[in-house]
Amino acid sequence: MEASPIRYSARPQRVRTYLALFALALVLPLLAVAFFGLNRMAAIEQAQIERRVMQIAQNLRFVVDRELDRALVTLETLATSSELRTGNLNAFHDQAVLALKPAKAAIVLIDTSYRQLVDTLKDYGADLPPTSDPATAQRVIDTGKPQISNLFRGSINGLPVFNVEVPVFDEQKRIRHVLIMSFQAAFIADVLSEVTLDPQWLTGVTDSNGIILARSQKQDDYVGKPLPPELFEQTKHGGGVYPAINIAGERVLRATVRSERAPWFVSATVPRDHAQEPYNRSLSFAVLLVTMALILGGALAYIFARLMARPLDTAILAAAAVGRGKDVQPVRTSLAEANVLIATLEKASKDLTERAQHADFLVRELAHRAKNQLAVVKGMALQTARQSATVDAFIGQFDRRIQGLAQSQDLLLRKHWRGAWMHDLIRAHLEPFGAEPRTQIGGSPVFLDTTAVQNVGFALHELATNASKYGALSTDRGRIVVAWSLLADGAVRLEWSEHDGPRAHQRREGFGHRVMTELVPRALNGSCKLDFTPQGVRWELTIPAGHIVRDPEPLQE
Amino acid sequence: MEQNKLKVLIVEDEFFIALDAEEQVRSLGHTVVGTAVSAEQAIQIAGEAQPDVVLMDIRLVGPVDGIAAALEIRSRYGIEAIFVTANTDPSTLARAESIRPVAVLQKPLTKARLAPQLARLSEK
Repeated sequence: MEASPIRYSARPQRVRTYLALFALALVLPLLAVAFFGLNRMAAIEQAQIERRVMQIAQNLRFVVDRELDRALVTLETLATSSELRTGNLNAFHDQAVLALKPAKAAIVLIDTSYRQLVDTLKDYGADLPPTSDPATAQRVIDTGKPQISNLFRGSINGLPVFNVEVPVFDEQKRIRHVLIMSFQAAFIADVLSEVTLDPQWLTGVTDSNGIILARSQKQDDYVGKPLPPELFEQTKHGGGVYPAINIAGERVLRATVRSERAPWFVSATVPRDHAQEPYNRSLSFAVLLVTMALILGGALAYIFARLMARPLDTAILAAAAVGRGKDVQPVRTSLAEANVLIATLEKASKDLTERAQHADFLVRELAHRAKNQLAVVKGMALQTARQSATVDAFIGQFDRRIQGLAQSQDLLLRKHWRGAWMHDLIRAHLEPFGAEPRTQIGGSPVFLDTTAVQNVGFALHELATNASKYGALSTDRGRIVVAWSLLADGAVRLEWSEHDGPRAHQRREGFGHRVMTELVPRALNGSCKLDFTPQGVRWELTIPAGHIVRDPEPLQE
Repeated sequence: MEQNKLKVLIVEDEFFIALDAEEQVRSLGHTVVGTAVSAEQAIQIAGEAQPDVVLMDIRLVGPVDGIAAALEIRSRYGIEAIFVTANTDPSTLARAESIRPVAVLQKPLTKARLAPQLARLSEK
């Protein structure tokens, strides 16, 4: 049964193309999943970084506010001191010096017209200039509440400072003085730098004018400088975490929290590159993954394609060889299917070669036999003529002999000139005499070679002719038994015996007699015995083993 | 022209052909000293009968062919052969010619073909 061929409209492709597509089909969904996963991870990591920026800003706000609280507590305690109430400013000066813990600060007492009465940076009684930050003092006087200033230059040492100021009331709850704790901006910078962070992280405090008050790094370079206007706008309005460009021109991620004590902004920043790093890492990882998957997929496709394509190429060559009528060499390849194909082609090529050789052989054999047979017929004609008294007798004899020869030829032709079965040979030669119903044929299957077929055929023909003329076939009752048996040495003994016929007697030794007793046995290199018994002729021929084909079956088609 | 009687050995496995050859040889005035059907037989009879020439069929009964048998007879007894064959296969004919026989004659054998070869031999 033949499978119906499937038609493909697409252009046929090579194995390696299909494998490359296969690799791609496998890799692409995996890559998509990997991309998605990496992206998610990067997003989570970035969110974590953003949360951390905000956390750090809030922590620092807390730390800064705590320091300011501490200053406020100190000031409020001093504001209620009896020395101040009694006006003993000299003693108050000493008290204030004692109260000062942080080194980068000074305590100043001014009256409502901003005149300095006490300054711990100077000895009591020294000549003091008016305060350089009257605005904050005025706010204290106006509100009656503690105030914290922006950055300004100190009147005595010219350093960047800020003030924490509280009102001092008299018995009538009127404001008599303003008590000021003046800090160097570096104090806040110290507080900032106390919180240990990665070197990329930066924290800072900006006052309400957008002036940098403190910075966790390079305090001296940046203190007192205004934020770029855009950054200041973002600082004032941008709640939470936002991308920005800092004063150094770096791209950063920034979080800003307002101080609860001072009119300040506490900010924490991390370079945007750093914040971006998870994405970059994911991207490089993804690129690496894609590259590796493509290289690996491509390489595997290439290797597997080679493992398949080469054997197929070999099979194609084998098929081409069959087409050219050449032999196919048995090759083992890495592809089982190709091996099957090559083995099949090899067998086909062998069969073809064998058939071609056999056809060749048959043609040559036929030519040889035709000429040989002509010679045989010529000899037969001459011998027949020699013993024929009349032309009619010759024609009758010659006709029968030619017919006998033709019977043997037919049998040989049917078996491709390899020989014939004994049984068939006997039947073929008895049939023209109508002897079959009176003949008993028996023996195990024996296959004779061509020489034996031809010669035994001649003998049988002469025996049958004889029987029909003078022997068992010349009467109605006569029977013939033809039997054969295998001898120990592989030879076959063929026996022809006539029964219930006329008594046989030796007649003139004609040519037929010579054929069966001398010529045929000699041609076969066998032996023969002829007896004339009261029952009829008894003839026995031993055919040597060399004329018996042992295994004729594979030769039969 | 003085003509010697030649002693001829016929090697042929088809007895009708062998008989025909025998008669042709005899009618040409020569003697047939034997008929063999196989190479083995041919070599044996050649040794016993010492013919002057062997009429040799190439395809014989048995494993050895006429060409090999002719070579063997020549080397053993110095007797030459005339091949008589139905073979038209060029490689076989070339092989037969290569041993330089008296002649290679095609079957069927006729007196016209055989006579000059035997005459040539008998004149020697």
